[in-house]
Amino acid sequence: MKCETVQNLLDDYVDGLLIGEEPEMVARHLASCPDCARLANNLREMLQNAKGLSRHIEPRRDLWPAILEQIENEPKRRVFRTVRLGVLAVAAAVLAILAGSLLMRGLPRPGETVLTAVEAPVRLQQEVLVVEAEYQRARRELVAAMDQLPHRLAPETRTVIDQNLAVIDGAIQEIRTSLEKDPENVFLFDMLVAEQDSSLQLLGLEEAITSNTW
Amino acid sequence: MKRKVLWGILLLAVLAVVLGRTPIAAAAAQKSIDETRAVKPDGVVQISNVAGSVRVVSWEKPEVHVSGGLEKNVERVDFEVRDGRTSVQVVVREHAHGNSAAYLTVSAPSASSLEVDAVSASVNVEDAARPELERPMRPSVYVRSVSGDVEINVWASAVELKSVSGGVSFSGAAETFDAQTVSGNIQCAGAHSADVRTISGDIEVANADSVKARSTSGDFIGSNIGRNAEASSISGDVEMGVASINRVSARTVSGHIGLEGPLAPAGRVTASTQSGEVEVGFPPEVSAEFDINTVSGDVRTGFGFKSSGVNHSLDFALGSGDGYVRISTTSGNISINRL
Repeated sequence: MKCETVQNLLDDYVDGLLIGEEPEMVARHLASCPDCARLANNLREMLQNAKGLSRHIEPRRDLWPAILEQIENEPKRRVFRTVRLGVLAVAAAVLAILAGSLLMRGLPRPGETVLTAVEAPVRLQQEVLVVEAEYQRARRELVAAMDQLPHRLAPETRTVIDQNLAVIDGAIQEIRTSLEKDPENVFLFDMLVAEQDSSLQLLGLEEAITSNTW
Repeated sequence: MKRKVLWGILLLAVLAVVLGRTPIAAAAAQKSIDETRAVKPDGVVQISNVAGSVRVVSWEKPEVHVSGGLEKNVERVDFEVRDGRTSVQVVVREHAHGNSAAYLTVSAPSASSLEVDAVSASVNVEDAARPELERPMRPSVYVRSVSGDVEINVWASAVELKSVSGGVSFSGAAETFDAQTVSGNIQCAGAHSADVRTISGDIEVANADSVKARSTSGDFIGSNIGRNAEASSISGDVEMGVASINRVSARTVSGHIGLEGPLAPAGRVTASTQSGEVEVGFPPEVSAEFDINTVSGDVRTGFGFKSSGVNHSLDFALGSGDGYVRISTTSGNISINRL
């Protein structure tokens, strides 16, 4: 990726607004380009400093009457300069508002860094292990509940649930097989975590049936 | 004569078996319900049913009306109103699995939120045709189902559907549409923003401004998507038509990626697959920087560039180059067509 392209993406990158493989592409470039990495860090610093800005600034005294009098008494040739200063003031206010609005977007906390393309697979491996353990536990509990309380489910419903548990298992295996061929593919890790996470939610739905807690 | 009587009994027995397993049983069910309660027009209506069907229709009365047939193992229907929440719950005799269907039609105020839980019952929610700005949208429609199909045609702020194997289908208008299935297919037409996930089902989304779709082996088809789309699949195909591409991302491992649409100023497209093919189409006036990479696939463009061989990339700019298009494959071919 060219530096110019990456620099155009830095705002969205720092805000966490990039989608698909864009974050990975930018992270990979920053890992190998000190200039762009410095720009990214400067941007994060600026946004971090903006957090400390006051949300409201009250003037120490009301300056407006004096300003208005000056505007009305200004010779016409200086109108452009007054207008230009006004535009700059508006621009500065807009910048302050934008910086303030960025506070709502979950900026990186002090000391928190965005993962590089090298670090991402390691972190995701850890995340996969955690989510997988949770998924396997929930799956065991669901199957145990269905086995111990067969009267809670119609046989055809039990069949549907068993078939779909097999679909979930098959999907997870499909992703794992792809990961074995490409062990550092961040996209595949992301899919595996997302797959197990959404499977957990669906297991919750199936569990509600067995516990009759509609 | 005796033979005619025997044939008559046999025919009646066959009819009894057939009727017992068809919706006609709704009319021939041993019990029925036909009750009305006064409710707040903007309250919550919650319905749960194990088997049979749930059909919800809207009206403008501050009332909920429940009617329908109940099979013999349906013990009762609890129909209560409390603190703005109306509850309609089918209770089945414990340990009974057959003959436990309830075929319900529920009329609910058009401004109420709906929550429907079903196991094998089909769910159908139908709002009356709504002239623009005449009636408020429902705040939310939430449906959970295991194996019954879900069909929703509503005007709602938020629609959320969860199913295991039943197919889910939405039409109408919604600010947000969120759907999740294991093997059921998902269809959505009319949501402003759609977030859909399935494992093996197929996904079709039409007329959304933005969509996020994920499937492991199912296909994704997006038509007339407004501006933003993010689609990923392991082995399924991804096909999208976008009205004005702002941010589009498509990722698969072995599926095919197809994308068409004009690129908005500073619009971005990223598409990657390992063994699948990528085919994108842009109008002749497209303005973007193109970053194309493949290990062993061929690259063809309708803009006068091509490349082949091993480990090759193709970088070029069209127009003022303010947009950005990045396509990468391992072995899949890449085609960039002029529309």
